Amino acid sequence: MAFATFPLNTVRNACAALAAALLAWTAPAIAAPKVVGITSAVVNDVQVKPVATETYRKAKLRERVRLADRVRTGQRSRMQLVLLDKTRFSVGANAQLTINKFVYDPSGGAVSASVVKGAFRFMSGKSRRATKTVTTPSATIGIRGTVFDGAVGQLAVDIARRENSVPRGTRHDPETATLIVLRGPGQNRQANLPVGLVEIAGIAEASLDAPVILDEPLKAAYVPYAGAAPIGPFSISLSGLGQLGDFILAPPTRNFRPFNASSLPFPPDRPRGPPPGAGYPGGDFPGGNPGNGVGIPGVGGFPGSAGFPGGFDMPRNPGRDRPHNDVPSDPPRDPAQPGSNNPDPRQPSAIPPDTDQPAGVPLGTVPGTNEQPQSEQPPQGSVPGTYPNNNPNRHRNMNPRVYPDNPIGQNGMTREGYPAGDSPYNRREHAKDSYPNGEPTGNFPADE
Amino acid sequence: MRAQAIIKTGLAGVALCALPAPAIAETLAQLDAESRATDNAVTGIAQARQQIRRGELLGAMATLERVLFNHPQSNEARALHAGLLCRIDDRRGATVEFDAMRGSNVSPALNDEARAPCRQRS
Repeated sequence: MAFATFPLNTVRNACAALAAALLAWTAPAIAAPKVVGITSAVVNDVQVKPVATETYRKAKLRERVRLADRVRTGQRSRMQLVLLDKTRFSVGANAQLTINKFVYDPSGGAVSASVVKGAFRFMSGKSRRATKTVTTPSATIGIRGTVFDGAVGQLAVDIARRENSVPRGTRHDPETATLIVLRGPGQNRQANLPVGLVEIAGIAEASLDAPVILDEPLKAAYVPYAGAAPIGPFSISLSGLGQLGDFILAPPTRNFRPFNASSLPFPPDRPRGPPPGAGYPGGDFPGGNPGNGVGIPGVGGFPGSAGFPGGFDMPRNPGRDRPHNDVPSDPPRDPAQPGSNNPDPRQPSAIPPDTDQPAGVPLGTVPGTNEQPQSEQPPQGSVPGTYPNNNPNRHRNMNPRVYPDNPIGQNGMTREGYPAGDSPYNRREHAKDSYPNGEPTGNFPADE
Repeated sequence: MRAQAIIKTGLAGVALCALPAPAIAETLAQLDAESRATDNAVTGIAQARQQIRRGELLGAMATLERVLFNHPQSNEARALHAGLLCRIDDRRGATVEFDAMRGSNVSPALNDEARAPCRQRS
């Protein structure tokens, strides 16, 4: 008995000493959250809030990002975050991202991130078997070896409203709405990559059991508000795709011309483009929804919501469309207000172009050089009646009736007639609590 | 047997704790180098081409996205990025990218190189 107990006690003591040594060795690492990646690209206003602090500070290029650090981008800003397993997030303007969990293990591992708002692209890393999830205020996205684009907030609403597959009358929450688009790899990929797959579930318990699965490139799902079940899968229009892509990648800044159906190497998979007489300036827009530019008499809503005159109630799906009193419906447009001349509720609310940013706002420099990023102003000499070649907001200008031909910024006014920098969109954007000291220009407050 | 199990567990724990520190440092240095390459459009595109040759398509896409972040006027980066979309079977997405470049000053050779993956089927 003694023979059996002695070595066991010795082992126990050794293990205790070993544990103490390990604790002492790893104590600094425990005290500071572990590094999970770096900011591999930083353009303009990008800020980070370390988990232990209450304030944001300006992010540097190739800065170490730790677990639970919050990263956010301002207007006309972009950043790319690369995790240690080479999972990548490319994040567009006005976004906020947090890495909540990261376990790097080539045979498994886990990545969990949350996106509160903004547009982003996710690319899987080395760990093909890792459990990867991205959460938004309204959706949980499970990922298997893939590339997908996402949008949270107003951008998701603006895109979804133009999609035929999103029923008219759907309630949208511009704070929490989430749009997810699978980009690949698809079955016909040209590399040894796993076929991408994304599962989107709403945050409501009822929808967790019925996720929408995206397994083909350009399949999309949309969650209109927190608590709603995802709508989809559906094929996103090319216009919606372009709109989303422009928020993630910088759009081309010169020699841009809008889509033309004749350039497509394949026929559109369904009737597209505006009806005759309501054409997209410069040519038909193959990704546009039939009916763009045509007023829709009204929208429906949940029981109890007023809707618009002539509106209709969408078919009810009890599992999906439960009344959600917390989500405000879109307010009726006041014809007396500027920008409300569009009777089509599916058109985006008046979104001012980024050129609302006043002159003198520093754009930052290109890392490693002294170059200033190229201006995204429309080119001089644009042909009247055609789409400005390099307008970063070209995706917003789908209704020629809403966007007259006057150049952006003329007389200090936006296309919609708002004074530059003052529009419902800006006021809504900057009233959010994530920018407690937000300024109408979208610039972050000074470093603290 | 139980003692052996405890020892094995302890050793495994030591191994797990001991490995990451240098591995993380090495990985971070590698990520820094990849990021640094895209400070300049030319070196960034060169890095992307190398990644494409190695079959690291997603890495090449990320590289080109970084180039486009900093140099949105780079037609070469945008064309190669569009070609990569075809390689991952996002052909309609590639069409959007190519369409955005219509009228741009892209050399025929670059145009052919970028569009070649879109003409193939795996």
